Amino acid sequence: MSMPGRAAATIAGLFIDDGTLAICVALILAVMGFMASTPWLGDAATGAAFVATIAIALLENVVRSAWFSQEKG
Amino acid sequence: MNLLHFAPVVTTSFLASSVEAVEAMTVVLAAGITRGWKSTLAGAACGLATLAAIVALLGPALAAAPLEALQVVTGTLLLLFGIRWMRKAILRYAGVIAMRDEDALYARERTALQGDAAAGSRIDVVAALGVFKVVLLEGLEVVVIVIGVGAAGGLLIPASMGAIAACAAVVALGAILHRPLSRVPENALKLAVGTLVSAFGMFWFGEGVGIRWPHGEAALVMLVAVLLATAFAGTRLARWAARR
Repeated sequence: MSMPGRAAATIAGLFIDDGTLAICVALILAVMGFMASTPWLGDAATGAAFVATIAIALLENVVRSAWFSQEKG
Repeated sequence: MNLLHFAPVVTTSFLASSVEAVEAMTVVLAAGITRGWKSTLAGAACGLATLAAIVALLGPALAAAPLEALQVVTGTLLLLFGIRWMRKAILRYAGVIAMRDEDALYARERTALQGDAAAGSRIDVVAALGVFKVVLLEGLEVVVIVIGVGAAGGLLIPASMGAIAACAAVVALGAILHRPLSRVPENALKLAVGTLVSAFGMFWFGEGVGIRWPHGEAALVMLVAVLLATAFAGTRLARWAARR
């Protein structure tokens, strides 16, 4: 890898450990951004959906990580 | 502006910066004691100067950015950053990955640096570069946290003061003790900071895209409570999954 590539990977590593969790969070943020811009849901419902989906994404990720670490180990 | 307004920002900035400073201090001490302080301090000074240049470049850009855009960008970065720390702390508590051991890291750094010893040069490039890199990287994390928790709410100065106080405290302790700060409960701090930073990230992102949180900034308490409950549940579930 070239030096700029290594530097970019190092900086990305400050924010991303597990790519699937980062993608999941990015998708949730995109959906929340869309939901907040539409009149379908109120602020309370959008906020609750935001909090719940982030919590579920984190739970799914740690359980999956533990599960696969066990299979490999 | 009262204490309740900026206390969460200062606390988050202080705790997060102290975690980063402890990690950097371990490498600085290992390099200084093994390879000499001249090159080590030169590397640290270069790292700090580079950080100062980055902050000087970012400052005007931040001041010119529209508030909503700043909230969305810093919220996204804080959430990615915080949830990464929460994940790691949960997996450590669940026994899936090993706890961070500052003493072991310090010993490993010292062994590696002794192995590479180059005699005769006035500036020890290996030590200086190693310290430069760690100071720059850990410092960048501190900058991201300070900007993230401070800039979107117009509290950059209190956030910076929290970070400076944390770094000064860790440097002073390291200078007095001359060994890594292994008694700092690193994983508990990481979980606490990850939770606080994630809560700030969600709050600012929500504000940026137009979600009006109930009770304004008091919603941060609710976000922290939900994230802590998630961390508790996640630790138990991960422990269960690892044993199956």
